[in-house]
Amino acid sequence: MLHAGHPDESVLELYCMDKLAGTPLDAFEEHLLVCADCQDRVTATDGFLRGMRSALAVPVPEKIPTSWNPLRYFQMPMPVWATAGVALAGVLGVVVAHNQNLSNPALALALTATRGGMVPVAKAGSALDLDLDVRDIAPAAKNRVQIVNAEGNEVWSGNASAVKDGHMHALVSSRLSPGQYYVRIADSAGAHREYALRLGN
Amino acid sequence: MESAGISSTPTVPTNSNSTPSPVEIAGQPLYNWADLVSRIQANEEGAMEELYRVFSRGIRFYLCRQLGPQDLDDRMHDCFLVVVQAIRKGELREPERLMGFVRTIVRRQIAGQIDVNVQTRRQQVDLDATGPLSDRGRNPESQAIGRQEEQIAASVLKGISKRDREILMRFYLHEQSQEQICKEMQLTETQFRLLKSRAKARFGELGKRKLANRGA
Repeated sequence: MLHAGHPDESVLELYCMDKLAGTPLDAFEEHLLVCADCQDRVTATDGFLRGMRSALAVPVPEKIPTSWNPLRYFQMPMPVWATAGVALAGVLGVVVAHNQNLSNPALALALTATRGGMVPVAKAGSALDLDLDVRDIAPAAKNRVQIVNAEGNEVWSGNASAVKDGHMHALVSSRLSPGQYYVRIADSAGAHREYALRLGN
Repeated sequence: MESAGISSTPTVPTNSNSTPSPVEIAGQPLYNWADLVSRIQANEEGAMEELYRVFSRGIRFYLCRQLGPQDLDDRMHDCFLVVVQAIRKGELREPERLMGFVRTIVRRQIAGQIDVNVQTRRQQVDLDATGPLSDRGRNPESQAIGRQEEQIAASVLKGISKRDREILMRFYLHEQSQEQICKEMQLTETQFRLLKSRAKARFGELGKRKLANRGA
Protein backbone atom coordinates (compact mmCIF):
# COMPACT_ATOMS: atom_id res chain seq x y z
CA MET A 1 0.00 0.00 0.00
CA LEU A 2 1.39 3.37 -0.92
CA HIS A 3 1.47 6.15 1.62
CA ALA A 4 -0.19 9.44 0.94
CA GLY A 5 3.01 11.21 -0.10
CA HIS A 6 3.28 9.64 -3.56
CA PRO A 7 2.12 11.42 -6.71
CA ASP A 8 -1.46 10.53 -7.56
CA GLU A 9 -2.63 8.52 -10.54
CA SER A 10 -3.38 11.53 -12.74
CA VAL A 11 0.22 12.78 -12.48
CA LEU A 12 1.50 9.31 -13.22
CA GLU A 13 -0.77 8.96 -16.22
CA LEU A 14 0.20 12.35 -17.63
CA TYR A 15 3.86 11.40 -17.23
CA CYS A 16 3.36 8.12 -19.08
CA MET A 17 1.50 9.96 -21.84
CA ASP A 18 4.36 12.47 -22.14
CA LYS A 19 2.07 15.27 -21.09
CA LEU A 20 3.72 16.28 -17.84
CA ALA A 21 5.93 19.33 -18.18
CA GLY A 22 7.72 22.03 -16.24
CA THR A 23 8.09 21.92 -12.48
CA PRO A 24 5.72 18.96 -11.95
CA LEU A 25 7.81 16.92 -14.40
CA ASP A 26 11.08 17.89 -12.69
CA ALA A 27 9.68 16.99 -9.31
CA PHE A 28 8.10 13.75 -10.44
CA GLU A 29 11.23 12.49 -12.17
CA GLU A 30 13.36 13.31 -9.16
CA HIS A 31 10.93 11.39 -7.00
CA LEU A 32 10.96 8.52 -9.49
CA LEU A 33 14.73 8.21 -9.24
CA VAL A 34 14.53 7.11 -5.62
CA CYS A 35 11.05 5.57 -5.37
CA ALA A 36 10.77 1.91 -6.35
CA ASP A 37 7.00 1.89 -5.74
CA CYS A 38 6.43 4.64 -8.27
CA GLN A 39 8.76 2.95 -10.76
CA ASP A 40 6.50 -0.10 -10.54
CA ARG A 41 3.43 2.10 -10.93
CA VAL A 42 4.89 3.73 -14.03
CA THR A 43 5.67 0.29 -15.50
CA ALA A 44 2.10 -0.83 -14.82
CA THR A 45 0.64 2.37 -16.29
CA ASP A 46 2.82 2.03 -19.39
CA GLY A 47 1.43 -1.48 -19.87
CA PHE A 48 -2.13 -0.30 -19.33
CA LEU A 49 -1.68 2.49 -21.88
CA ARG A 50 -0.13 0.19 -24.47
CA GLY A 51 -2.90 -2.36 -24.01
CA MET A 52 -5.69 0.20 -24.06
CA ARG A 53 -4.37 1.97 -27.13
CA SER A 54 -4.06 -1.31 -29.05
CA ALA A 55 -7.45 -2.59 -27.94
CA LEU A 56 -9.23 0.71 -28.52
CA ALA A 57 -7.78 0.96 -32.02
CA VAL A 58 -9.65 -2.23 -32.97
CA PRO A 59 -13.16 -1.29 -34.15
CA VAL A 60 -16.06 -2.90 -32.34
CA PRO A 61 -17.86 -5.37 -34.62
CA GLU A 62 -21.54 -4.62 -35.07
CA LYS A 63 -23.69 -7.38 -33.64
CA ILE A 64 -26.46 -7.22 -36.25
CA PRO A 65 -25.45 -5.94 -39.68
CA THR A 66 -27.94 -3.27 -40.76
CA SER A 67 -27.60 -4.11 -44.41
CA TRP A 68 -26.69 -7.65 -45.14
CA ASN A 69 -25.23 -7.72 -48.58
CA PRO A 70 -23.99 -11.13 -49.70
CA LEU A 71 -22.44 -9.61 -52.82
CA ARG A 72 -19.74 -7.94 -50.78
CA TYR A 73 -18.22 -11.35 -50.02
CA PHE A 74 -17.54 -11.78 -53.73
CA GLN A 75 -15.48 -8.60 -53.72
CA MET A 76 -12.84 -10.23 -51.51
CA PRO A 77 -9.44 -10.98 -53.08
CA MET A 78 -8.60 -14.46 -54.36
CA PRO A 79 -6.31 -15.52 -51.46
CA VAL A 80 -9.20 -14.96 -49.05
CA TRP A 81 -11.42 -17.21 -51.12
CA ALA A 82 -8.70 -19.85 -51.33
CA THR A 83 -8.20 -19.81 -47.56
CA ALA A 84 -11.92 -19.80 -46.97
CA GLY A 85 -12.30 -22.77 -49.32
CA VAL A 86 -9.70 -24.81 -47.48
CA ALA A 87 -11.24 -23.89 -44.13
CA LEU A 88 -14.73 -24.77 -45.38
CA ALA A 89 -13.56 -28.13 -46.66
CA GLY A 90 -12.08 -28.84 -43.22
CA VAL A 91 -15.22 -27.76 -41.45
CA LEU A 92 -17.41 -29.87 -43.76
CA GLY A 93 -15.19 -32.85 -43.07
CA VAL A 94 -15.61 -32.40 -39.34
CA VAL A 95 -19.36 -31.86 -39.67
CA VAL A 96 -19.83 -34.97 -41.82
CA ALA A 97 -17.77 -37.06 -39.43
CA HIS A 98 -19.68 -35.63 -36.51
CA ASN A 99 -23.07 -36.22 -38.08
CA GLN A 100 -22.24 -39.85 -38.80
CA ASN A 101 -21.84 -40.38 -35.06
CA LEU A 102 -24.89 -38.39 -34.23
CA SER A 103 -27.36 -40.30 -32.14
CA ASN A 104 -29.97 -37.53 -31.81
CA PRO A 105 -31.22 -36.00 -35.05
CA ALA A 106 -32.34 -32.39 -35.41
CA LEU A 107 -35.29 -31.60 -33.21
CA ALA A 108 -38.22 -30.24 -35.19
CA LEU A 109 -39.61 -27.14 -33.56
CA ALA A 110 -42.50 -25.07 -34.85
CA LEU A 111 -42.31 -21.41 -33.95
CA THR A 112 -45.48 -19.49 -34.36
CA ALA A 113 -45.76 -17.26 -31.34
CA THR A 114 -43.92 -14.00 -30.94
CA ARG A 115 -42.77 -12.66 -27.58
CA GLY A 116 -45.53 -12.60 -25.00
CA GLY A 117 -47.39 -15.62 -26.34
CA MET A 118 -46.83 -19.30 -25.70
CA VAL A 119 -43.14 -19.98 -25.57
CA PRO A 120 -42.15 -23.34 -27.03
CA VAL A 121 -39.78 -25.33 -24.88
CA ALA A 122 -37.31 -27.76 -26.39
CA LYS A 123 -34.51 -29.90 -25.05
CA ALA A 124 -31.14 -28.19 -25.00
CA GLY A 125 -28.12 -29.80 -26.58
CA SER A 126 -29.82 -30.97 -29.77
CA ALA A 127 -29.68 -29.66 -33.28
CA LEU A 128 -32.86 -27.79 -34.11
CA ASP A 129 -34.98 -27.77 -37.23
CA LEU A 130 -36.89 -24.54 -36.86
CA ASP A 131 -40.20 -24.30 -38.64
CA LEU A 132 -40.94 -20.59 -38.80
CA ASP A 133 -44.48 -19.46 -39.39
CA VAL A 134 -44.31 -16.40 -41.62
CA ARG A 135 -47.88 -16.34 -42.91
CA ASP A 136 -48.73 -12.93 -41.53
CA ILE A 137 -45.60 -11.20 -42.71
CA ALA A 138 -44.13 -10.68 -46.14
CA PRO A 139 -40.66 -12.14 -45.96
CA ALA A 140 -38.05 -11.22 -48.53
CA ALA A 141 -36.72 -13.67 -51.06
CA LYS A 142 -33.57 -14.16 -49.04
CA ASN A 143 -33.79 -14.25 -45.25
CA ARG A 144 -31.32 -14.64 -42.49
CA VAL A 145 -32.13 -16.24 -39.16
CA GLN A 146 -30.39 -15.16 -36.03
CA ILE A 147 -30.64 -16.60 -32.52
CA VAL A 148 -29.76 -14.35 -29.60
CA ASN A 149 -29.63 -15.17 -25.92
CA ALA A 150 -31.43 -13.32 -23.14
CA GLU A 151 -28.68 -10.68 -23.11
CA GLY A 152 -29.15 -10.04 -26.81
CA ASN A 153 -25.83 -11.63 -27.82
CA GLU A 154 -25.88 -13.65 -31.01
CA VAL A 155 -25.36 -17.37 -30.45
CA TRP A 156 -26.14 -18.59 -33.94
CA SER A 157 -27.03 -17.25 -37.35
CA GLY A 158 -27.66 -18.80 -40.72
CA ASN A 159 -29.78 -18.67 -43.83
CA ALA A 160 -33.39 -19.74 -43.90
CA SER A 161 -34.91 -21.86 -46.63
CA ALA A 162 -37.24 -20.34 -49.20
CA VAL A 163 -40.82 -19.71 -48.04
CA LYS A 164 -43.23 -22.53 -48.79
CA ASP A 165 -46.88 -22.48 -47.73
CA GLY A 166 -46.23 -19.64 -45.33
CA HIS A 167 -43.36 -21.42 -43.58
CA MET A 168 -39.62 -21.32 -43.79
CA HIS A 169 -37.04 -23.61 -42.19
CA ALA A 170 -33.68 -23.09 -40.59
CA LEU A 171 -31.41 -25.90 -39.47
CA VAL A 172 -29.48 -24.97 -36.33
CA SER A 173 -26.55 -27.33 -36.00
CA SER A 174 -25.14 -25.65 -32.86
CA ARG A 175 -26.02 -27.36 -29.63
CA LEU A 176 -27.37 -24.55 -27.51
CA SER A 177 -27.26 -24.72 -23.74
CA PRO A 178 -30.40 -24.36 -21.59
CA GLY A 179 -31.81 -20.87 -21.37
CA GLN A 180 -34.04 -18.24 -22.94
CA TYR A 181 -33.46 -17.42 -26.60
CA TYR A 182 -35.05 -15.30 -29.30
CA VAL A 183 -35.12 -16.26 -32.94
CA ARG A 184 -35.11 -13.37 -35.39
CA ILE A 185 -35.76 -13.30 -39.09
CA ALA A 186 -34.01 -10.51 -40.93
CA ASP A 187 -33.60 -9.43 -44.50
CA SER A 188 -31.43 -6.69 -45.93
CA ALA A 189 -33.72 -4.07 -44.37
CA GLY A 190 -33.20 -5.45 -40.85
CA ALA A 191 -34.99 -7.71 -38.37
CA HIS A 192 -38.71 -8.04 -38.95
CA ARG A 193 -39.85 -10.99 -36.88
CA GLU A 194 -38.92 -12.36 -33.51
CA TYR A 195 -39.92 -15.62 -31.82
CA ALA A 196 -39.29 -16.62 -28.25
CA LEU A 197 -37.77 -20.01 -27.53
CA ARG A 198 -36.82 -21.69 -24.29
CA LEU A 199 -34.41 -24.60 -24.06
CA GLY A 200 -34.47 -26.79 -20.99
CA ASN A 201 -32.64 -29.84 -19.67
CA MET B 1 20.74 30.12 -7.43
CA GLU B 2 23.32 27.95 -9.08
CA SER B 3 25.64 29.45 -11.67
CA ALA B 4 26.00 28.01 -15.15
CA GLY B 5 28.00 24.79 -14.99
CA ILE B 6 30.83 23.73 -17.25
CA SER B 7 30.04 21.50 -20.19
CA SER B 8 30.32 18.20 -18.34
CA THR B 9 28.38 19.37 -15.33
CA PRO B 10 24.67 20.01 -15.43
CA THR B 11 23.09 23.13 -14.10
CA VAL B 12 20.43 22.02 -11.71
CA PRO B 13 17.35 24.20 -11.66
CA THR B 14 16.44 25.31 -8.18
CA ASN B 15 12.80 25.17 -7.23
CA SER B 16 13.25 26.66 -3.78
CA ASN B 17 11.64 29.97 -4.71
CA SER B 18 8.59 28.46 -6.36
CA THR B 19 5.54 27.22 -4.53
CA PRO B 20 5.96 23.48 -4.03
CA SER B 21 3.44 21.44 -6.01
CA PRO B 22 2.04 18.27 -4.42
CA VAL B 23 4.51 16.26 -6.48
CA GLU B 24 7.49 18.11 -5.17
CA ILE B 25 6.80 17.24 -1.58
CA ALA B 26 5.29 13.86 -2.35
CA GLY B 27 6.92 10.76 -1.01
CA GLN B 28 10.49 11.95 -1.15
CA PRO B 29 12.45 10.20 1.57
CA LEU B 30 13.86 12.30 4.31
CA TYR B 31 17.43 11.86 3.24
CA ASN B 32 20.38 14.00 4.16
CA TRP B 33 21.79 14.52 0.68
CA ALA B 34 24.28 17.16 1.82
CA ASP B 35 25.79 14.68 4.24
CA LEU B 36 26.10 12.01 1.56
CA VAL B 37 27.73 14.50 -0.82
CA SER B 38 30.26 15.60 1.79
CA ARG B 39 31.11 11.97 2.61
CA ILE B 40 31.70 11.24 -1.08
CA GLN B 41 33.91 14.31 -1.32
CA ALA B 42 35.84 13.06 1.70
CA ASN B 43 36.29 9.65 0.05
CA GLU B 44 34.56 8.06 3.00
CA GLU B 45 34.23 4.32 2.86
CA GLY B 46 30.67 3.24 2.12
CA ALA B 47 29.50 6.60 0.74
CA MET B 48 29.85 5.51 -2.88
CA GLU B 49 28.10 2.27 -2.08
CA GLU B 50 25.26 4.22 -0.50
CA LEU B 51 24.97 6.50 -3.51
CA TYR B 52 24.78 3.44 -5.75
CA ARG B 53 22.22 1.74 -3.52
CA VAL B 54 19.95 4.78 -3.46
CA PHE B 55 20.06 5.65 -7.16
CA SER B 56 20.97 2.53 -9.12
CA ARG B 57 17.44 1.16 -9.58
CA GLY B 58 16.05 4.58 -10.48
CA ILE B 59 18.77 5.36 -13.01
CA ARG B 60 18.45 1.91 -14.54
CA PHE B 61 14.68 2.34 -14.77
CA TYR B 62 14.98 5.78 -16.33
CA LEU B 63 17.62 4.73 -18.87
CA CYS B 64 15.77 1.57 -19.81
CA ARG B 65 12.47 3.40 -20.29
CA GLN B 66 14.06 5.97 -22.57
CA LEU B 67 16.69 3.97 -24.44
CA GLY B 68 15.73 0.32 -24.05
CA PRO B 69 17.73 -2.47 -22.44
CA GLN B 70 20.75 -2.34 -24.76
CA ASP B 71 24.08 -1.56 -23.04
CA LEU B 72 22.21 -0.69 -19.87
CA ASP B 73 25.08 -1.60 -17.52
CA ASP B 74 27.58 0.51 -19.46
CA ARG B 75 25.25 3.48 -19.49
CA MET B 76 24.58 3.11 -15.76
CA HIS B 77 28.30 3.03 -15.12
CA ASP B 78 28.86 6.16 -17.24
CA CYS B 79 26.17 8.05 -15.32
CA PHE B 80 27.65 7.14 -11.95
CA LEU B 81 31.10 8.09 -13.10
CA VAL B 82 29.96 11.55 -14.17
CA VAL B 83 27.98 12.07 -10.94
CA VAL B 84 30.83 10.99 -8.67
CA GLN B 85 33.47 12.98 -10.57
CA ALA B 86 31.32 16.11 -10.45
CA ILE B 87 30.70 15.70 -6.72
CA ARG B 88 34.38 15.17 -6.01
CA LYS B 89 35.35 18.21 -8.05
CA GLY B 90 32.87 20.27 -6.05
CA GLU B 91 30.75 21.05 -9.08
CA LEU B 92 27.52 20.32 -7.25
CA ARG B 93 26.85 23.73 -5.73
CA GLU B 94 23.74 22.78 -3.83
CA PRO B 95 24.31 19.34 -2.28
CA GLU B 96 20.74 19.15 -1.00
CA ARG B 97 19.65 19.14 -4.66
CA LEU B 98 21.47 15.87 -5.36
CA MET B 99 18.35 14.19 -6.82
CA GLY B 100 17.90 16.97 -9.38
CA PHE B 101 21.60 16.82 -10.18
CA VAL B 102 21.52 13.06 -10.81
CA ARG B 103 18.40 13.43 -12.94
CA THR B 104 20.02 16.12 -15.08
CA ILE B 105 23.12 13.94 -15.60
CA VAL B 106 20.95 10.99 -16.67
CA ARG B 107 18.91 13.20 -19.01
CA ARG B 108 22.10 14.47 -20.62
CA GLN B 109 23.37 10.92 -21.06
CA ILE B 110 20.09 9.99 -22.74
CA ALA B 111 20.14 13.05 -24.99
CA GLY B 112 23.76 12.26 -25.93
CA GLN B 113 22.91 8.67 -26.72
CA ILE B 114 19.95 9.68 -28.88
CA ASP B 115 22.25 12.06 -30.72
CA VAL B 116 24.75 9.25 -31.31
CA ASN B 117 21.96 6.98 -32.58
CA VAL B 118 20.78 9.64 -35.01
CA GLN B 119 24.33 10.20 -36.32
CA THR B 120 24.96 6.47 -36.65
CA ARG B 121 21.75 5.93 -38.57
CA ARG B 122 22.56 8.81 -40.88
CA GLN B 123 26.05 7.46 -41.55
CA GLN B 124 24.74 3.95 -42.15
CA VAL B 125 22.27 5.24 -44.70
CA ASP B 126 24.96 7.33 -46.43
CA LEU B 127 27.45 4.46 -46.61
CA ASP B 128 25.28 1.70 -47.89
CA ALA B 129 21.60 2.07 -48.38
CA THR B 130 21.24 -1.58 -49.40
CA GLY B 131 23.32 -3.09 -46.59
CA PRO B 132 21.88 -5.28 -43.86
CA LEU B 133 19.97 -3.43 -41.17
CA SER B 134 19.35 -4.65 -37.68
CA ASP B 135 15.76 -5.28 -36.73
CA ARG B 136 14.72 -2.37 -34.55
CA GLY B 137 11.28 -3.82 -33.93
CA ARG B 138 10.18 -5.22 -30.62
CA ASN B 139 11.72 -8.50 -29.53
CA PRO B 140 9.53 -11.63 -29.31
CA GLU B 141 9.20 -11.32 -25.56
CA SER B 142 7.95 -7.76 -25.62
CA GLN B 143 5.70 -8.62 -28.56
CA ALA B 144 4.16 -11.39 -26.46
CA ILE B 145 3.73 -9.01 -23.54
CA GLY B 146 2.13 -6.48 -25.90
CA ARG B 147 -0.31 -9.07 -27.18
CA GLN B 148 -1.23 -10.03 -23.65
CA GLU B 149 -1.74 -6.41 -22.65
CA GLU B 150 -4.03 -5.93 -25.61
CA GLN B 151 -6.03 -9.05 -24.75
CA ILE B 152 -6.48 -7.91 -21.17
CA ALA B 153 -7.51 -4.43 -22.27
CA ALA B 154 -9.97 -5.96 -24.75
CA SER B 155 -11.52 -7.97 -21.90
CA VAL B 156 -11.84 -4.78 -19.87
CA LEU B 157 -13.50 -2.99 -22.77
CA LYS B 158 -15.92 -5.87 -23.29
CA GLY B 159 -17.39 -5.22 -19.88
CA ILE B 160 -18.11 -1.53 -20.32
CA SER B 161 -20.77 0.45 -22.15
CA LYS B 162 -20.37 2.04 -25.56
CA ARG B 163 -20.33 5.47 -23.96
CA ASP B 164 -17.60 4.53 -21.48
CA ARG B 165 -15.58 3.08 -24.32
CA GLU B 166 -15.89 6.33 -26.20
CA ILE B 167 -14.62 8.25 -23.18
CA LEU B 168 -11.58 6.01 -22.88
CA MET B 169 -11.01 6.20 -26.61
CA ARG B 170 -11.08 9.98 -26.59
CA PHE B 171 -8.62 10.16 -23.73
CA TYR B 172 -6.16 7.36 -24.45
CA LEU B 173 -6.32 7.06 -28.20
CA HIS B 174 -7.16 10.55 -29.43
CA GLU B 175 -5.46 12.19 -26.46
CA GLN B 176 -8.21 14.73 -25.94
CA SER B 177 -7.98 16.68 -22.70
CA GLN B 178 -10.03 15.79 -19.67
CA GLU B 179 -11.72 19.20 -19.85
CA GLN B 180 -12.79 18.73 -23.45
CA ILE B 181 -14.12 15.21 -22.85
CA CYS B 182 -16.03 16.22 -19.73
CA LYS B 183 -17.53 19.21 -21.49
CA GLU B 184 -18.55 17.41 -24.67
CA MET B 185 -19.83 14.29 -22.95
CA GLN B 186 -21.39 16.07 -20.01
CA LEU B 187 -19.35 14.36 -17.37
CA THR B 188 -18.16 15.53 -14.01
CA GLU B 189 -14.48 15.31 -13.21
CA THR B 190 -15.24 12.62 -10.63
CA GLN B 191 -17.17 10.47 -13.12
CA PHE B 192 -14.31 10.75 -15.57
CA ARG B 193 -11.69 9.84 -12.98
CA LEU B 194 -13.79 7.00 -11.64
CA LEU B 195 -14.22 5.43 -15.07
CA LYS B 196 -10.49 5.54 -15.72
CA SER B 197 -9.54 4.17 -12.33
CA ARG B 198 -12.10 1.36 -12.62
CA ALA B 199 -10.74 0.39 -16.03
CA LYS B 200 -7.21 0.47 -14.68
CA ALA B 201 -8.11 -1.56 -11.61
CA ARG B 202 -9.86 -4.17 -13.76
CA PHE B 203 -6.84 -4.29 -16.06
CA GLY B 204 -4.54 -4.88 -13.08
CA GLU B 205 -6.86 -7.49 -11.63
CA LEU B 206 -7.12 -9.46 -14.90
CA GLY B 207 -3.37 -9.16 -15.41
CA LYS B 208 -2.70 -10.61 -11.96
CA ARG B 209 -5.15 -13.42 -12.59
CA LYS B 210 -3.48 -14.26 -15.87
CA LEU B 211 -0.08 -14.24 -14.19
CA ALA B 212 -1.37 -16.52 -11.44
CA ASN B 213 -2.84 -18.94 -13.99
CA ARG B 214 0.48 -19.04 -15.83
CA GLY B 215 2.33 -19.75 -12.61
CA ALA B 216 -0.07 -22.53 -11.59
